[in-house]
Amino acid sequence: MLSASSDLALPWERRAFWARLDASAPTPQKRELPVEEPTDVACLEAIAARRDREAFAVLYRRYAPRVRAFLLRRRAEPSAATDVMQDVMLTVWHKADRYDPQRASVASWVFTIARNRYIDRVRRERRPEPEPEEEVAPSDRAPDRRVDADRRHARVRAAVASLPEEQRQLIALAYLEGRSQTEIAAATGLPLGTVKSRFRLAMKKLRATMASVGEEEAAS
Amino acid sequence: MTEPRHHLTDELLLGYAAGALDEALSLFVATHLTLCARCRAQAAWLEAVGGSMLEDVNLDGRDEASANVTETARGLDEALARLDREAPPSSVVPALPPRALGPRDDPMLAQIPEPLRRYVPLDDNNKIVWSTRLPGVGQVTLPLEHRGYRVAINYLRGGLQVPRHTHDGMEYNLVLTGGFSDRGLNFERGDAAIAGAELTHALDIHPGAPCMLLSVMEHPLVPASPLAKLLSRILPI
Repeated sequence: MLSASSDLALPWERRAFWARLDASAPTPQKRELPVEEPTDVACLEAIAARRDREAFAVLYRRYAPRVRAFLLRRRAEPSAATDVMQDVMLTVWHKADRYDPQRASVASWVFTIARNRYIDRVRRERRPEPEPEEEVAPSDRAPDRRVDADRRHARVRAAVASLPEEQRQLIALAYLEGRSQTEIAAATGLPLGTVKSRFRLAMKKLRATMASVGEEEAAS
Repeated sequence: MTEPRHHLTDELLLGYAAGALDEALSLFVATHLTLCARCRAQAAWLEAVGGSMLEDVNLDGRDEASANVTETARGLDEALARLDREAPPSSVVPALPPRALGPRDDPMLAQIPEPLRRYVPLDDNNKIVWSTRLPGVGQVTLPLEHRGYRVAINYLRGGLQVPRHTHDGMEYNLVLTGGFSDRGLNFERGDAAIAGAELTHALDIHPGAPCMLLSVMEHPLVPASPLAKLLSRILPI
């Protein structure tokens, strides 16, 4: 199905599209850092506790290129991508004390900041957020479950990495480029039904991981 | 409060977590999430998947890769210089403040959860301005008209029957109060009823309390029969 019709009524060439997908195949990123290299969480704690600029530099080197790559894949202009990247990293600096390691991994936290700044500065829209607190009387309020974010993060990464390539690519397109299933079908030349069923299978596997991590967390 | 039984689709949840939805659909998702702990947990999980996507994003093999490295090496010096002399970055698009309920507010407003409530236009007396074309039926359009979505809150009195009709595009309904039945399924507060294009259906509003729905429609309604066509001029959905 990769040799789909060659008439391209699309903003980019299909061949280029697939080449880019190949290029985005997961490179083994073992991140074998020197022992003295602090963890993400330690960096954020150092920023929050004592405005540690060295810790900021470590996080910057890790995340700024990734944030910029994300913004470029969302079709931000290169100069805008750089501006918004700076914005995201400055937000990390200023909001380090608001990071809660039991709610989300640092990667997820940075992802949500990048996503929100992209919506605000590139799309120029608002992002409505849920407000569950007001729906429940304070006495009945059970906080949404807190988790060991590092362990959860490792499991999520493993689950994504273990998806068959064809499914992983669709999920990556949805996250990094923000494509809907219809857009992915149009861009890849795959039938919409194929996109939908791969997407469904991928979500089923990710959800199974979520359920098993949830059980482990409940049991621990 | 009972938990909703009809949930968001995976595509909506993922689109929201990825930040790929228009504001209209994001508002639909966020309002359901306010009412649904189960979908909130899933959305949090999908943000974790987003974190792993960011971490594993490819940094080589693309044209901008080399520019990327220089940009960020230069960027670090610039960022370090800005750390202490700048306020935190603020939004370009001003946020809508949450709307706390006051004694003079329209009582219907209390039935509308945040973040939807802050989008509802009110008149000078803090009343919702329903456009009413039939007794017991009203509609207020939200100021979110863009990219082919129409976003409205519909008010339908208890016991009303909405005749068979079809839609040109996707139709997303979220029950805010009351309830309705559609093809044997019951929908109540917090339930999402998502209908694909070309679905022909009729709605029976549950007897008793009025039903308020948040409706996000891709395209305007296409009536299935002359009667529905006539009624479509009067009924809001």
